[in-house]
This record gives sequence, C-alpha cells and structure tokens, in this order.
Amino acid sequence: MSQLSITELSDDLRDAIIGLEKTEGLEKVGIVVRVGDGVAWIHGLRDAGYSEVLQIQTDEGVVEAFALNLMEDEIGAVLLGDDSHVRAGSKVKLSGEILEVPIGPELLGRVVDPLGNPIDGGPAIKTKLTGKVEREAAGVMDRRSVYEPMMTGIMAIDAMFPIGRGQRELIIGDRQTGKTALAIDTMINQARTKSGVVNVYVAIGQKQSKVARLVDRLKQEGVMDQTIIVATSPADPASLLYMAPYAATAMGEYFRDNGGHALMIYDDLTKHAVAYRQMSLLLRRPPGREAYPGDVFYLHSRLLERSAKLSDKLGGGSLTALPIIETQAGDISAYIPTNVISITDGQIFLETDLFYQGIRPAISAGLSVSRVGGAAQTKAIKSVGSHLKLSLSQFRELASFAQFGSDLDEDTRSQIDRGQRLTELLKQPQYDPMSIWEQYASIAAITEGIFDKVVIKKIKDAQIALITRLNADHKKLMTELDKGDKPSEEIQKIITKVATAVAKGFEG
Amino acid sequence: MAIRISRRKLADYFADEFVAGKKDIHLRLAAYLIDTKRTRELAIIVRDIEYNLAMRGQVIADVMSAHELTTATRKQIEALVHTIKPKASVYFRTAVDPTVIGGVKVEALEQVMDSTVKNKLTMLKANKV
Repeated sequence: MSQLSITELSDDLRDAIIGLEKTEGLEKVGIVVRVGDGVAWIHGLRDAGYSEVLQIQTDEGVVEAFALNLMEDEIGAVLLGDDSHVRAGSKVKLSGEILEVPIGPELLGRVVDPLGNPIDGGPAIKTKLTGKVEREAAGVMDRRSVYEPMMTGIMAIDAMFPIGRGQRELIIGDRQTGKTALAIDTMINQARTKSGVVNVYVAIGQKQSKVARLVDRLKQEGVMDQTIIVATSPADPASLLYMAPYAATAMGEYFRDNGGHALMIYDDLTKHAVAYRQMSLLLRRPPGREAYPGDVFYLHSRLLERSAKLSDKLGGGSLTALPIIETQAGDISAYIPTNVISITDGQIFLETDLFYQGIRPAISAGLSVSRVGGAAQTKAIKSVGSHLKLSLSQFRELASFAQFGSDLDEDTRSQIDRGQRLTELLKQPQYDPMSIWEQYASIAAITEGIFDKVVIKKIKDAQIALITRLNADHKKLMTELDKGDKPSEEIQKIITKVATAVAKGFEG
Repeated sequence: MAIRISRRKLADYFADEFVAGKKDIHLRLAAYLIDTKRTRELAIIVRDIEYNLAMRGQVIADVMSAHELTTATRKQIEALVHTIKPKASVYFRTAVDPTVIGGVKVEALEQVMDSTVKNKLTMLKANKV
C-alpha cells in the first residue's frame, strides 16, 4: 500500500516538474495598485479583456479575480476569493480565458458554490466538461415557441397561470409570502410526476440554515437526485453572489443543449441586484435610480434570455426559469420588480393580505399573469380551468362590496358563493403538489356546480374524499386522464357521478 | 484648477521627451507630481514610462539572479527580449539575490519570465505535489 503511494507520488512529482519546465517564457504581468472591499485596482495588463479571469499571486497562493472595469490607466477587478492576502504590489497574471464552471450530470445531487466547488461535504466533483459562465442566449432561429407544460403541481398556477417549458415566470411578493415554497413545490412535482426535468436551484445570498433545510427537505422528497443547488450565503463576497445565477445557468444549459429539460430557480434576483449594485459602486461606476448602475436591466435580461425552448433541430431541449423577486410593502412598481416583470413572460404575485387570511398559496388572481403558458396548458386542465381566473378576480372584487350589505341579487349571491368555494378549493398545503387528474376532478366539481351545496369549511374535506374515491375505484381511468388529454365523456360522467355522491356527505 | 492628466498620457509625453534627449525630464516630472499631489503614483508612472520607452525601442530589463550575470546569459536575455521587440536596445538593471538559489528572473515590457529555482519550488508547493 505504502509502496503504491510512493510510486504515485513520484509520478505526480515528475509530472509537476515537467509541467513547470513548460511554463518558462515571458508572461504579461500587472501590479495591484489598491485593494479593498473585494475590489482590486491593477496597473498593467493592457491586453486584458472584459470579464477575463486574472490571477493575483499572494503569499497564500493564487486569488482569482475578473476584470470588470477596463480604464485608461488601470483595471478594476472583482476578487472571487478572500482579499485579506492581496496586497498593493502583488503580481497579477492574465489567464487568457473568461470564467468557466464545471457542467454535466456529475453535478446532480450536489450542493456547489458558483465556481462549481462542492460545499456539501461530499467528494470532489470531476466533470468532463466546463461551460462559460457568460454566454450568449439562443438566437431567434434556434428557438421555437413554448408548447410543453411545466406542471408545478399547484392547482392555482396550473389552472390559471400555466407555465410552459422554456418560459420565464416571475414569482414576486413581499417577504414571508411563500415565494420559495412555490418554487420548492414545483421541484418536488418534477420528481413525483417523473417529468425528467432537472432542477437547478440558485440560492443568492440565502442564509445557510435555509439552504440546509431545503436540502434536507429535497432529500426527504427524493428530489435531490435530479437537483443541483448552487448556494451563496450573505457571508460570501458580492462577486460570488453576482456570479451565482450565471454559473448555475451554465450548468442548466448543459441539459437544455443535450435535448433535456431543466428548471432554473433564482432565489432571489433582488439580492442579486443588490450585490451588483455593491460591486458597481465600489468600482466607482455612476449610480442611477435607487443607486443601481445603468446596466442593471441588462444584468437580468441577459440572464433570463438564456432560458429558452430550443428548436427541434437543436434537440428540442428547454430551460425554464422561475426568478424570484422580493418586494417591499407590496410595491411592484419599484425599479428591480418592474425591470424583471418586463423581462419575464408573466408573473405570479403573492399578496401578504391573502397569506394572513389563510389563503395559501397567496396568489393574486388580478395581478398575476402568464403570457405564453396558455399554449402549453394541458387540454384536461384547460377544459375546466379556462374561466377560473376571471371568476376568481370578479369574486374578489364582489366580495369586497358584499361586506357592506346583504341585499344582493341572486346572480351576485351565487357568484360569491361559487367564488368562496373556489378560493377554499385552491388552498393547497406545502409539499403536496397535485397531479393532473386530481386537479381536473377538483376544479370540475366546483365549476360544474356539484359542490355548490357543500359547506364552505368542508370543501377541502370533500375534495380529499373525491380524490380518494376516484383513486380507489377508477385508478385506471385516472391514470389515463393524467396524460393531460381532454377527458373522454366516460371519464367526465364518472367524475360527475362520484363528485355528486361525495357532495351529499358534506352538505350543510 | 489643473485638469488631471492620465498616467498613460503623462508617460507617453515624458517618453517622447526622453527619446528627444531633453535633460531636465526628471525635474519637470517631479515638479508636476508634487504640484498635482500625485507623488504616490511615481512608481507606476516610471513603469509606464519604461513601457513607452520600450515601445520606442529602448527596453530596460530588470534581471534578478543568484550570481552576477555572465555575458552568455546577457545575450540570451537580449535574444529573449528581441522575440517581443526585435532590434530593441536592451539596458540591464541587475540585482543579485542568493535566495533565488539559481536561474534568473527577467522583467521587461510589463512581462516576466521567472525561471529561478525559488519560483519553481514555490509553484511546486502551490500545486500541493
């Protein structure tokens, strides 16, 4: 054993020495002039390119940085590592390449930092490939329109704001309104439905305890095997927070480019913009609105434009994005929210009021929209959910008037009753995504008026009873319905029959 | 208030003056830096001037070695510089440092070639072999 180690060591040593012999020659070198707050100002390196990786030599080894400000006299570079060992006078070399991260299926099930280094205590990740962190988005001819559903398993979303593979759907809301919960449920649903979609979750400046909890939950749910987590904490330098979504997208693009499907969750882009603002201010770029730099729109547009549904010629892969934005006091007209709303193909707005009324997920029917997902909605859900959004919006408007008086006409009364039942039905516990047939049967029971006489408080119980009965007695038909096609008359009749029977048990 | 002139432009101007054979360059540069409170930039401006002079065919090579340079080594270094700047006149600024153990370290045209034994050992250590 020890003999083998000595042989390996001598081979390694020989290789290293051969490697060193090859490195001789003149290399371009710059000098660190100033350093502080994770930014180094470098003199020399006149040939440095934008976003090129620089290697700063310190007593403790090489610290990498990337050039972001190419000025007449000096380069402003953002450090990717600890700046405590970088000193004025430290030598800097050009690496000749822009940032790349490891990509490939080897990353599945792992928690990594934005440079691709494992942070889950597992073994080193050896991938065969690397991908460019900054990469151009697919062109017009490389894409096709969104048409395949990306089922979230959340009834309110799949029925009213359907998401398609390749779509960018923003999740927006105040703190503690269930934004991350929606994203996690969507990830869980991919595993439950065996959709083959790979999840890439990017934690941007998230507390490490939150990431640890998330990993535990994903392991419990059996989702981790098809998930990559790119995590940065508030203790990391701003440069890593800035880089995280781009690096994670490179990891997701591997699956997209190989004909697969990936789901990107950027949690959250508000912190990403704040990290970029910090870097920009330290790089002395002129501040604009809310002190963000002028290119903060481009920061997110170039990231989200990489999510796409590729043409069949390119394998038909897709990269779906669920960026998350945190608002302050429900203000969606702030700078970053409006930017990202305009970039994405729709948004799911979560309201604090609804959340504290116990309506969870607290999705606002009026302010949420999915601009392209309609084409991707399963026919089964479309057949029952097409008027859901309008009914729910009208109900919420009527409900606010209804509290002032009880002398309402019959139509209004019935609309409010239906709305109350629908609201109750759309409540869904966390970590419990629903399959297509469960959603279809539940919505059909309300929209067809079968549950009209069920006591509002017992709607959820009636729904559970309906699903249990259908699953027990008509499993084969429900499996067929789960394919997403428009249900046959036979299936519709059975659901109506079972729902009517179930409703009788819950009438007031 | 004087307009701040970039280091690159300053270096370009003083390199031209130097090539033209003006003699009071150092005094004028010192006066300018004191007047504009930019004396801290001196080392970098000198580096820029040297680079500009190199671009005009006068290369200053900083050489560090464990022993005094032999004529053969000097010729080799000149040849090395000529690979980047052909026909340039090479001026040596040498330093002897026994701690480098062996080999030479050459710095010219904002480029470095470090073939000292000390550097190789440091790189071996950094590679954790």
